[in-house]
Amino acid sequence: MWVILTLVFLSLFPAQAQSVRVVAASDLQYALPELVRAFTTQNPGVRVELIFGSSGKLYTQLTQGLQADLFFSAEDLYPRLLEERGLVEPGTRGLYALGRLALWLDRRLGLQPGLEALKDPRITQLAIANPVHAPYGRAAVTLLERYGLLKRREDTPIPDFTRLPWEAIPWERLTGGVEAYWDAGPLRRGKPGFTFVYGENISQTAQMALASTRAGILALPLVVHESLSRPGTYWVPPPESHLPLRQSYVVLRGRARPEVMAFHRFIGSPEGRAILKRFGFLLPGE
Amino acid sequence: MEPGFWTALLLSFKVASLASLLLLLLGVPVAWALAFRRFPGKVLVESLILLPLVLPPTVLGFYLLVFLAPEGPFFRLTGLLWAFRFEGLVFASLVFSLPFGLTAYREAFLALDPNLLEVARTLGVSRVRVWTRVVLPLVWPGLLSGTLLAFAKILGEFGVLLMVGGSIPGETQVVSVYLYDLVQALRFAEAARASLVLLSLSFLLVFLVRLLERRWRAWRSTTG
Repeated sequence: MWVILTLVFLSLFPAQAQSVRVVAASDLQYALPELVRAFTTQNPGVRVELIFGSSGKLYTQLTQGLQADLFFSAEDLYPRLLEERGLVEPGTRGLYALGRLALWLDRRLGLQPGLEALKDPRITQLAIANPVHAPYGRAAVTLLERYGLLKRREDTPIPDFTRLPWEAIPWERLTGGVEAYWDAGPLRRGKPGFTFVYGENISQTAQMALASTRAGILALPLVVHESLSRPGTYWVPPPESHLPLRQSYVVLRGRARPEVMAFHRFIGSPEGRAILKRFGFLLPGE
Repeated sequence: MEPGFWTALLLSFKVASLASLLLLLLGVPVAWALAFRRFPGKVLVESLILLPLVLPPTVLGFYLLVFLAPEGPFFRLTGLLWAFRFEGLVFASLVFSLPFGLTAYREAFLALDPNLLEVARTLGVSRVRVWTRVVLPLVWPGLLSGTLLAFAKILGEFGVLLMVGGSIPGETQVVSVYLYDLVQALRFAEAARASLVLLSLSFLLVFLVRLLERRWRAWRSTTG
């Protein structure tokens, strides 16, 4: 036992290797490892470490002391808030992609991909990311509203999101879930019931859709991956039909080391952009 | 098995070993005081120690995070930023494993025959020798089983460690959090393999604790 404990003590504080730590929105779950592979073949010796979560949760963790070099958000709001707090290396905030939604349906349901499918009585639950801290969840809600599947409740008036900037929408007050603000009546018409299931981030939302709800509003970059495209079918709404997902990234304050900046540049390079495009992101300026 | 699994498992072992060892060092004097001393507010202290047993892990995680955050009292007092760091995980583990260790230690001390200690003292044996010759030989199985139980508890904890640690590979991504990330990434086959390893490991630990307790009881009934 003492031998083991001694070994454990000796290995407790290992020397820090030359590495870049990236925290990223979960819609990058598949695209980012591919970007890292391409980057490290050009820059051997640099190790890139990836941590995924919802943008809102990662933002909170970064303000609470989480140490990271780069932050990839699914929406520009959080990088901007970090910048306002002085936690960002000046001039590093940049748009890397525009996110796209996808309605994913279990293939075994045999439904035509499209929002009409949600009226099928077999779909009693819809998985979306938690709108309180996940941009994809907010976009999902606005998509349903745009197509007349959800209505705002008149007794809880909220501003019109199509006219107002993101931060003016009181998402953090959505403690009762989407249905506290939106009326799911139109969705439920002719059906025994329909409830939302909230994922902590978009990747967990995908897992919920796959494992139980059989339907979910997910991120296109996840849905095109074989683990979801094989067991399911999907429909991609036009980008202007929901809240835009302006995906931005920043280098955190005091972290502008050469290898960090090299990765920052790589994301905007033609090769980096090609990879993002291959995974279903729209690119800024295209 | 993916290399990430072994990294996470090794990290869990590091956190669990360090925290349960600290628990042993800090917990033994406290358990001794709880077993033999009378002091005002003793019931209150005992309740506080048992609290992590019933507290939702997220509540404990939340308070620990507030305590360790950049605006929190711990940082202001010490200048150390332990949130989302390895040190923070060890600290959190020490807190939520308190009831497991201390209860076992106290039981071990309470089972001591007070006459034996009295006799040793009246014979003029020094305090240190009473501990090394009388107390430790009698209580070590209890101390070991409490420490092992705490070790197993820390190895399996999820909620508190996720909240205090985030999920940084090699630093705070312990094996339970690694498993959670695998499931989120839809890597079910790997998750199943990792779960099987953890199941076997947990069973082995509990089995060991039970074996120790049985041995100890049998041995005590023959000598006592």
